[in-house]
Amino acid sequence: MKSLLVSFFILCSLTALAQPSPSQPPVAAPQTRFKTPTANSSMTDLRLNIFLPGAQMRYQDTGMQSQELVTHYTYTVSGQADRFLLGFEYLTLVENSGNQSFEVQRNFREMNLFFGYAAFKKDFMVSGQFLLEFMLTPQVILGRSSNVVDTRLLGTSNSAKSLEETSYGVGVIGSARTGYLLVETDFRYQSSKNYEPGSLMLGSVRIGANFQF
Amino acid sequence: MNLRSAKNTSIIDAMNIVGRVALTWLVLLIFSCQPKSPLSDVSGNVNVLIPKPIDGKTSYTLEPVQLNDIKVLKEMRGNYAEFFYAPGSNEGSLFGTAPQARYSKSPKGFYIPLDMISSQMATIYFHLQNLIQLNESVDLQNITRKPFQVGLEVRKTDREKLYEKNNAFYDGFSDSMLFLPMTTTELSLALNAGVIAHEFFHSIFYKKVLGKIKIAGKSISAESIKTAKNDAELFNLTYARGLNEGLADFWGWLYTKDKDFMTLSFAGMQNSRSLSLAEGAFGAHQRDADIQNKIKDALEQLGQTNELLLDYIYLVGTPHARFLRQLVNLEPNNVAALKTMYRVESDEKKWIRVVVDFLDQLSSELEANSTKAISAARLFEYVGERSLQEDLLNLEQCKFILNYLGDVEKSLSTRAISANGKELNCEKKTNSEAYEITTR
Repeated sequence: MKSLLVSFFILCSLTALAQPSPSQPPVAAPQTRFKTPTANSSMTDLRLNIFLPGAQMRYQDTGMQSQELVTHYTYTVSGQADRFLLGFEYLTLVENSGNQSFEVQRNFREMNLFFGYAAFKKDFMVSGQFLLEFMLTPQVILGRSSNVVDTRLLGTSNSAKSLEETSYGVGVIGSARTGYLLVETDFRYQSSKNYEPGSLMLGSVRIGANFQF
Repeated sequence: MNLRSAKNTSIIDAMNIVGRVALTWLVLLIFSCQPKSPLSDVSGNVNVLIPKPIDGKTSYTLEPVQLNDIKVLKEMRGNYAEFFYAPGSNEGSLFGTAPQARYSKSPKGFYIPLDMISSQMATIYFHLQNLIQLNESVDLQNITRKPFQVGLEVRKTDREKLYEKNNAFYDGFSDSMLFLPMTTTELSLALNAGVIAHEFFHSIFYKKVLGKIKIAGKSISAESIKTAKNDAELFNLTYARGLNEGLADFWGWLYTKDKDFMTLSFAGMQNSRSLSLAEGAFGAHQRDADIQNKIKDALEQLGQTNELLLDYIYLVGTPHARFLRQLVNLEPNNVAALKTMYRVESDEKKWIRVVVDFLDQLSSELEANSTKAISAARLFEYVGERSLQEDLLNLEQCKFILNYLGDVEKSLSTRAISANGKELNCEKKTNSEAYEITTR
């Protein structure tokens, strides 16, 4: 409930911030060979973004009694409607510790939905032909995470699953887009009872393709 | 149309202001909070999944157990144990940072360790909790440190330079249990319930004997051989250290009911440290002459090796562990208790009291006679002497002890002749079912 309230609160704030200032004149869209709707256009710019499997770095506790940047593998897909962004990511981490007699394998899994609004957008023409678009998209994240711990003890295996806990956070996505190519950097501050520590900083760079409808 | 547009603009402006203020507050709120572990607030009685020995077998299974009086689960700090990671030591305590445990809560309410160190911390806490409670039940609370300090991944110690890894020991100087890094494929010492009980006993022996007779700082090394005032002191040092190891093994067995608990962590000790005792081996132990000869060898080889006596003390000690285990096994009412770990029943507590009282006796004798070598059969003699004062032995136990006090007559198993020619007999006490060992 607390996380939902926080998320709602952030969403209200971001939506408010995203409103164009009345004094700001609409920017004329440059002419390109791609479909690029303008602020005045009545047509909605719908896009599907599919990313290559990527790596997300989280600064967190490790099994070696240190706090380090730990690489998690991510699979991300998102959709855009004009400036609105809705995405889904699946994230995994496998950690091993112990020896042949007692081995602990921690399988961390997380599924997140992220929702953002491109508050800042700037377009550039490259060589008078290609449109390069930059966007800064504040986002809120809501998801579920769990651990499955497989333990091998003197040759016998045991698997124990943890409670699924809510994860939530805020962050910002920086995107660069030209043609089908899309590169994003994602920085967040995210919390969950399945994290150590409970709140952590994370970042990722992902490369994908965007398809306009 | 214009009025409607103006109204929309003012709503948007208001949302803008409210939104900016709200977001600023939210960002400040989030970043002003120190990242905190979800485990930091967990305290009280906590259930954690640990590797636990299977009753009476040299094997383990994973089972949730209750850890009592936890103050901070993240550091596994509570009333029974306090942990330090790669610590330093002062007189009477460890210093350094606490290891950080990582657990995830299961739907059934217990916590699952996410790595090796977290498993070790929970396991050690659980066994120390049981061992401290056992001490309290036999009136040893005065010499029990609570919470017990434990060092994990101890890199190096100044006093025990011989060991740098794959070992665990009780350090009398800092009054703590230290676990060195484990690099073998065998069960970690910090997960071995018998080893934890073994090390825990060393704290009792230190406070009852070694610390009192001021030979605590001496180890069985070239240095202590050099500084020993006389052969008797060296003899007593060897015997006391041997006894320390043997009785600690007995404690490990008493707690786990596993006679081979040591072999899970040291496969090479299958024969030397197993507490099995075949009937043909009744009475086998290192005699006075054996210890004296070994000391003579060590003195001759001084400068070549200083580990000769260090290994030898286990040969002195293990027969004592086997002796006591056999006495407990011969308790008629103890069959059910023997199958239950962690719960030490009244018959077993009787033998714990015998051992603890013997330590007081040993300490007094060592202190009183630093120039006189103690008998290598002192524990066996003490049990015989004690049988005269209280109802301690049944017939089977009495006959078994005779094997350690003299040569048992084959035709009459209740009689033995001691080394100095005295006749030892198992006799039934008057008005009692118990037996005593009399000397003529």
